[in-house]
This record gives sequence, C-alpha cells and structure tokens, in this order.
Amino acid sequence: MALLEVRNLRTSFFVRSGELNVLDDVNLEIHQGEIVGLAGETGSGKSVTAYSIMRLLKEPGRVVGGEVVWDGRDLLRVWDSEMEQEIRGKQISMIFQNPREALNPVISVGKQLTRVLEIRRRLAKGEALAEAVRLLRSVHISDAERRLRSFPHELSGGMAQRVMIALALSSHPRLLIADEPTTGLDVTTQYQLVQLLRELRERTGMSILLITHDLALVAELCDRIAVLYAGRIAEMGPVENVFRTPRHPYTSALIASRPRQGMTGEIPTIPGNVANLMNPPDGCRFHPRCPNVRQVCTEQQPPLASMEPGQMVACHNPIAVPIKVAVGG
Amino acid sequence: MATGPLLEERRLTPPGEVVIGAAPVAGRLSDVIYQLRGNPATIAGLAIIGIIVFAATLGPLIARYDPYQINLGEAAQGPSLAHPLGTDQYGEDLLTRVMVAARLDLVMALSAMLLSMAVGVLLGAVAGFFGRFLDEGVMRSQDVLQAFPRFVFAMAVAWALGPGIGTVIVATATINVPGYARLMRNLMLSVKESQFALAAVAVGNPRSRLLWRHLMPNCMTPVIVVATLQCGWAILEAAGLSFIGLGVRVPTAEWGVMISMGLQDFLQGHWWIYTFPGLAIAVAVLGFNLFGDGLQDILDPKRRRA
Amino acid sequence: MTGSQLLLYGARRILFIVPVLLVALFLTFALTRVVPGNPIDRVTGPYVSQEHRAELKHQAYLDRPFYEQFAFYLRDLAQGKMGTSYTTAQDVSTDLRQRFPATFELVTYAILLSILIALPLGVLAAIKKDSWIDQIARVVSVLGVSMPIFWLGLILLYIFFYYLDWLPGPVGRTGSVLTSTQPITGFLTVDSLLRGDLGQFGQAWRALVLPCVTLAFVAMAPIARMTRATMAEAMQSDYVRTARSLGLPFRVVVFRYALRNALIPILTIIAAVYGYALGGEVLVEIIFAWPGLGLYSYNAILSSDFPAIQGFVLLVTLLYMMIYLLLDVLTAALDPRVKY
Repeated sequence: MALLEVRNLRTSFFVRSGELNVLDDVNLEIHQGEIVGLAGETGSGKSVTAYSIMRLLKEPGRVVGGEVVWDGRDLLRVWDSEMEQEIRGKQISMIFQNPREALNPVISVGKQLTRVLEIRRRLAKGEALAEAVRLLRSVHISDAERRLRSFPHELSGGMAQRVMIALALSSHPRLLIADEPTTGLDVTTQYQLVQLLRELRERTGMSILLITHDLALVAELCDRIAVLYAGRIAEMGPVENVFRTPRHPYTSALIASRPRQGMTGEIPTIPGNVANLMNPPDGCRFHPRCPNVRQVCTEQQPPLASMEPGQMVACHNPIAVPIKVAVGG
Repeated sequence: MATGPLLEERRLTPPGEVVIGAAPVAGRLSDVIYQLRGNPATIAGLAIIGIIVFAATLGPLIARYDPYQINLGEAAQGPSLAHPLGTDQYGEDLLTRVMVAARLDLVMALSAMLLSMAVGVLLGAVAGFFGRFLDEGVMRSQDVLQAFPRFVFAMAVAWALGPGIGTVIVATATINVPGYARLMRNLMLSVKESQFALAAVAVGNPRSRLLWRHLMPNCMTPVIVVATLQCGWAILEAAGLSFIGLGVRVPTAEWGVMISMGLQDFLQGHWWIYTFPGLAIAVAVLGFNLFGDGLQDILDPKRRRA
Repeated sequence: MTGSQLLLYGARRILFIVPVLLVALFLTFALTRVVPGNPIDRVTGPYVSQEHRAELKHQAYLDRPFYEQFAFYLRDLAQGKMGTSYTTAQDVSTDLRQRFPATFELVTYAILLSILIALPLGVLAAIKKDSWIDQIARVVSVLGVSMPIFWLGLILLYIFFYYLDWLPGPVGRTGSVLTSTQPITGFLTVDSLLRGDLGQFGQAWRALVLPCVTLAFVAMAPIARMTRATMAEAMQSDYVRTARSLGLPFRVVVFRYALRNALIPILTIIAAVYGYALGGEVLVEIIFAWPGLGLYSYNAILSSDFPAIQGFVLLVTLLYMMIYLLLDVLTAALDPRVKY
C-alpha cells in the first residue's frame, strides 16, 4: 500500500487571460521509506504539485480535480482544520528553496524550534529546549546550544536549510516534501545536504519527495523518478532504469542535454519552446518538439502505461531500442 | 521600489546615441486600461480631480455672483435655490466662493508640489549619484528639516514670511522637500548599480548624460506617485495655514479661510458656512489620494492585477 | 540586540540628536529674525517714545549683531529661560510648562485611541482581504487622510454639541467650570481620580471626547493603512508559508509570524503620525479652545509674540525628536537585523 497516492491531480491558475492549466492529470505514488524525485524544467509545475498536495496553493491558483490519498483519506476533501492540525507538520512536512527567507527573520532559531515543539508536540519549555538541541544535532549543526540564539540572517544558506529540516522533522512526519532544497547552495553544501537526507531516511524510515530540476541530484539520492513536462507525468520508474533506458523522448533529451566530462561540440538542446499552458498543444503536450512524433500524438493524449523495463511512460511512440547513456556524469 | 519593466521605457534619442534598457511601449496602454478597469476607486479619483479642475476653471466664469460682494441683507442664509450652498455672514454667495477658492487652492497646491518636487528630486539625485560628502551633507540637512513636526514647521516658515499666496506655496513646499530628496536618493543609489547603468557607462556615456538621460527617468515613476498624493496633502496644508491666519487672509476666497470664517460664526449655528468649503477640501484631497493610490497599484508589479 | 546593546544604541542616538537640535535651534532663531522689522516696533504702539523704544530694544538685545543675539539666547536657554512673553509677561518656559499637560493629555489619548482601533482594523482587513471589514478599513483610511482636521472638529462639534447637546462646547478641558487646583500629573483625567473628585473626572472626560476623537480619526487612517499593507505582505511571505506548512495554528501564524514582522514598519508610521498629531492638534486646540500649547502658539502668532513662538517651536520639536528616538530604540529592540 502506497503512503501517498496522487491521482489525476489537476491544478489551474485563473489569471487575466484565462485559465492557466499548470497541472493536468498528475499521478504519483510514494511508498513507505522511498525517496521519489519529481524532476522537470522550470515552469513544469513541480512546486505547484507540492503546494497542491499540502493545500498551500496561493491565489490565483486552485486545485480543480483529482485526489490526493493519504492513509485512506483524500486530502483534497478534508476540512482545513484537519489539514492544519493533523497533516501539516505532523504527517507531511515541507522544506523550501531560499531557506533564509523561509524562516521568521525576527525570532531566534531556538525560539522558532521550541515554539513548534511546544505547540505541536505539547512539550514543556525545558523539554522543548532539550529536544531542540537534539534536533539541531541530528541535522549535524555543530555547537547546537549556541546556534539556538542565532537569527536567520546570521546563518549561511546551508545552515539555514538544516534548521528548516530540523523544523520540518520536529513532529516526526512520515513524508518530507523537499522543494528545490539545494538550489542556490554551493556544491559542497549540496553534497552534505544530500547525505543528510539519505541518513534521515535510513534512520527513521521517512519517505521523501524530492522536487528538483537537477538530474544529478535525483540520480544521487532518489529510488524512483517521475519526470514532469507541461503539467503531466511523462515517465516514471526506478532511477537506474529511467536513466539507463529512458523510454520517453523528453526524458532522453533531458539526460542527453546535461554537460558531461569529455564532451566535445555543442550541448544537445531540446528544440522549440516549453508548452504554452494557456493554450496547450492538442494530444501529447510534447509533440511539437518530439523527434519521435507521429500522427496520433497530435490528436490523442497518451495514457501513462506500464512498459519494459518496469517503467511507466506516457508516449505513443516510446523509444524502443535502449540507448546507453552515461549516468552520473 | 518598483523597477520592473514599466520603468525601462524607450526614450527618444538622437541618432547615433545608444540607450540601454529600452523596451517597446506598444501594448502598455491597453495594460494600463486593464489595470484601471479592475480598480474603480482609481477611476473615481481621476473623475473627482477632473470635476474639481473643471469647477476651478469654468466655475468662476459662469458664476452668478461676485465672490467678494458683501450683501448684508442676505447674510447667513442657508442653502436655497438662489444660493445653492447658502451665504456666509457677509452675504457672499458660498457656491461662487467655493469655486473661486478651488482655483486658488489648486494653483497653490500644484505650485507647492512642483516646487518641492523640483528641489527635492534635484537634491536627492545629486546626493545619490555623487555620493560621499555630498550625500552626507544633503541627507543631514534633510534630517534637520524633518526634525520638526511638519505643520509646526510650516507655521514657523509662514509666520516668518508674512501672509500671502507666495508664503503658502513656499511653506508647504519646504516641508515636502525632504520626502522627495530621500526617495530620489534611495532610488538613485539602487539604480546606479543596476545592469543597464553599468552597460550605459561601458558604451561610453559621460557621467552627466548618465545621470540625466538614463538614471533619472528610471527613478521618476515612484516620484510621480508621491507627487500625485502630494497635491492632496498640499491642499490640506495650505488650507490649514490659511485657517490659522498665516497664509492667505480673510476675506480671500480660499477654502481654509472660509472655514475660519465659519468658525467665527459657529455659535449661531450656520453650519453651511464651514461645511461646504471643508467638504470641497475633503473631496479634492480624496480625489488625489484615490488616484495616487491607484497609480501606485498599477505601477508596482507586486500589486498588479494578475 | 541585548539590553545593554540597546542602551548604547539609545545613547548613541541621543548624541546624534544634539547637533540636529542645535541646528534646529538656530533655524528657529533665524526664522524669527527673517521677519522684517523688529519685535519691539511691531508690539509697541505709536505712543511709545523713541527713547523708550530704544531702551526696550537694548534690553531685548536687538541692537546687537545676530550671532551675539543667538549666543545670548543659548545662554539663557541653558539656564532654563526662554525669554519673556510679550503677552503673558512671564518667562516663556513657565508658560510652556503650564500649557504642556493639556496638550500632552490630549495627544496621548488620541494616539492611544487611534492605535487601539487602527491596529486590529488593519490586521483583520489584511487577513480577510476584500471582505466587508477590508472595505471599511480602506474607506476609513482614505477618508482620514483626506479630511481637513479642523473641519472634522467643527462638524463633530456641531453635531454633538450644538445640535444634540450631548457634549460640552469649545470651552476647554473641564467643560464649564474652571478649576485652579494644583495638578499632580497634569492629566485631569488622572488627577481628578487621585483626588477622588468624580464630578471633575466625568467632566474632564466629556470635554476630552470630541477633540480626542477628531485627532484620533485623522491619526487612525495612516496607521490602519500601513498595518493592512504590511500585514498583507507578511501573510504572503515565505516564512508564513513555512509556518503554515508546519501546521501551526492560524492564530500563531498571524500574531507571532506576520504581525511580529509587520510591527516594524508600523512603528515608523506611528512616529510619523505622532509628528502629524503635534501639528494637527494645534488646529484642534483652536477649535475646541483647548488651553494647551497649540492655542498658546496661535495667540502668540496673532500678537507677534516672538519669544513665545520660538519657545513653542523648540519645545514641540524636542518632543517630536524624543518620540522618534523612542520608537527608533523600540524598532531596534524588535528587529534583530538592525546593526548597532
């Protein structure tokens, strides 16, 4: 039984010119203890997926269809209060990009932590303080007691991200949604963060939904990957499989477009522009840019179907012959 | 402060000169109209301003009475068909006086606003652009000016200069200079380091041209917004000064003066003498406030309608 | 900032005030000398002899060069003397001391009232955007900054005094009866309670209502507007999103996250409003015949009472600077990003 099942999720932004259909029929599954990567270009709808699941979408965005099943309940149909009290922070937590802006600038790190502990886990002041220190240590922040008195603007990016992780973990959630957690951080810090996330999964069995545009990150950390294009899942499957034998032309192009050591000549790019979400192409949204395009692609939307070797692909004309691609370049 | 695409407009340049940061203006007008449509208050503000300006220009010309015609036989009469707004304690028709006063108050407010904007923007631009000692000096002088409570300072200046229209303009302008200076200076500081400024320098623009042709136009948008709001406040300040007797004097047709005349007559219960001029002030200032706020909403990318 | 750091910060700011104050002093002094003619000639009638006039001028140092006059003024000031008023024949500092409590009481209550109403109004308007309370807040804000304060006072006076006869007219702090008891705090509302004089207590309040409400309504507007704006912005911020993602109750998110951050720019507005109130209350005092600094300055202006006007501007400016300083220190206390 999957921990989280997202079925046919559909989210739109209602703007001046009409309805911007950002997510159209998104399907995801996350199992206990799994790290799933949701990968895609900027504007593909990755963050919107996360906000839709957590119901933190801001106007003018709205979820207009689908189900988000957690523990047998559809989160899109529970009361606001239940979402706030039961789910957010307790069952599902989230960490964000730009960690320094995502923390309350006028309250010390320690106070932010202890407040969350006091409110959500009903700890007494002294207990909360001790637990805060423990949490900071668990995310490998050195000199934890002193750090309690720091303010967000005094922290480095990596440190702030760890603090956010500590906050997110404070109530022992079963799923952590990480929205571009490493963007903007230097490579060393990124590496440390990745190690930390992996360690957390080992230690607590927590699942992680990693949202990113960085394929290397996915390759490094995730068990499974879901590729998002123009609001739809193009391909989904175990990381090894998808990277070695991508079935969807988009996935293949993405992987091929990464600069690698020893490359010569031009970096291959994907021709054309990202699909216009106000007026998306008929049929498969990728068809205007696809090298494998066929007539049916311009008419019918391809369903997400199971395909060798153990992946799900939404394509009328998937790549049949496995292409060897160097992984982790 | 807003430094979005709206600011980087195409400026008319002589051939051969390079202007960095230009963007096409086409489509901007329809954009503005769309924003306006979603903001009825702004349109209302603009309409009010229009009405006031109309009344100010045309009113005195078509008025039936002389605003200074004393007619004790008709003194202190309430609103009637002959005198739609009534008469004051000297028999002068209030409708006429209100309209004549509109002209005076608007002229005073506009002049004050232009004067303070010119001086303040210049000071701020110079301070921000040249920096260091000039910046320190100008900003400290603004600190001193802002150390006084605004109206009290206006009172002091007006008192020192003696009554009159010029006094009102200068006094009102003086207290508003620091606002512009500070705003312009901060804008200049940030825009000085922007990409297009560096590019303009790289192409070989001399400093003076950089300041006037490139940097300043890009800072003007917030200044315009403040200027619009300023017109409203200037009316309040001018009326306030005249009310106390430090600005324009009785029996000049000026809204503040008319209210002070109403105050003298207060215990007789002739409420119309002060109510209507005050209403005129409130409506005029309201118009400027609504429009200025709306302008801010339109021009600040964060507050736009999606 | 820690407590001791705050004290140092405050001390540093006070030190900065001194040069500004000196320049302000100089400006005020210079302004009075810009006026053409001299005070003696303006005040004395045509029946005073030339010799007497020369004598008066000599006494008032008017025959000395400018910088000497300024030096004398500073010297007197250091001794607490601000010159003799031409109308009350007392030292201006005494005048000011007598009139100060009335103004302070009025302005304090007005600002408190305006904060009490504007802050919750702004917060509610920001949380429930586009609701009816948001509309009310917007209307109140825009009206408050558009209305001439002296006009509002007159309207209220007309409605509640002349027409309905619910509240006392413009006859000062006690409505009708003049009392000459020694003040304790200067606040009539407090002193009367301390003395157990409930009659005067009630009268003091009734006399306060209209001028206070007038001042408060105008002061309320910018505060409500700024509160609404900063709260709305705070509610859209990243850190509020984090707080909500952690499942913190809405109440906590609004007060501990959003409001706590929004308070900082709001404090700045309150300082500005205080400055505005110090000016506006001059107009209010004139209308309600409130025996405070404002009315004093008005009479001084009418009678060309140089020392009085000078003293008034100085005192009010000093007050304003101190309030600004206080709020500056408060901001530093609230915002850890402020560097010492």
